[in-house]
Amino acid sequence: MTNHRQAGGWGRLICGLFFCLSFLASREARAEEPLKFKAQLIWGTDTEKPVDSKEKIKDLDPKCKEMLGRLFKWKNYYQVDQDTVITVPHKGSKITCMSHDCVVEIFHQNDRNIEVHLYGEGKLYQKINKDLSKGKYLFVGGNIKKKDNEAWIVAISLVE
Amino acid sequence: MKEIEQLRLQAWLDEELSGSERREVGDWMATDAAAQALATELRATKSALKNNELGRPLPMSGDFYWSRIQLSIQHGVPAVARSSASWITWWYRLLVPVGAAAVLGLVLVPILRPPVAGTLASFSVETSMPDSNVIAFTSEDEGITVVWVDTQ
Repeated sequence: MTNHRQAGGWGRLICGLFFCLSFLASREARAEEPLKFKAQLIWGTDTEKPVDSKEKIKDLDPKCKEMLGRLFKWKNYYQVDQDTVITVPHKGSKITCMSHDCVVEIFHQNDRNIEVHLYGEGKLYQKINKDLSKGKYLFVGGNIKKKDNEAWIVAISLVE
Repeated sequence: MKEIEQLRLQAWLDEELSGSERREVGDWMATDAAAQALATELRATKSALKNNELGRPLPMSGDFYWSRIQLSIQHGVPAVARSSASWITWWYRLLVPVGAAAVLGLVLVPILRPPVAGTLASFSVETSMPDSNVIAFTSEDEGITVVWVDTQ
């Protein structure tokens, strides 16, 4: 009876080891998958949405609009063009054009740490290094030149 | 004869009945021949078992033998098995908790490892625009980070 109990104990230990190693292996495999980000170019203004515009001006999703309303002073926030999904390979980078003036490049450093390079008018504008996990937002913005009281904002969030 | 009556008769023979029940069975026995025959048979069986049981000599004195058994029951381990399996048991007791701790470490260390300096809960901003002011803040509770570039 003692040998039977000992054999059962060793069996449980081996099963537990196998389960833990499988869990760790799958975790490491998931860590090397590419990251998907959503990037939105946003226009902050006190004016109403223009009826006709060369670029597509759309209403922003309520959650993002509510956050911007708490952070900034403008009355209205509109999305310029559609959402851009940026798939960044593990430890790689991806560049994407938000508009004819705005280019975003995202570098994956490690885990959830990324570096965002923002280009405006062909020049490197900002470099931002940040841990970005799901559900969190990175807003980068500034005043629009020659337009008083209007702003551009790039919102980046991790999708998966 | 019913089974319950046979059991009552057996109990009477074994002196397990109370006073009133004992008298009742005794009165019944006096008048029932079948009960008397059964009682005779049961007495004979009891005597045969008692007088013809094989002797079982103990390896040691009776008091010492029973006291060892009592000690084993109290400690929960068979006294005879302990000496032969002691080294196996010792290794088993040592390796199972060590193995469990190793497994726990394998699981927890990757999860709880400290963050790389300068990344978790912090960020850095570098601007290439001359004559610009950068204002940056982050709120972990709100889940937002804002970098504002003032060029005016």
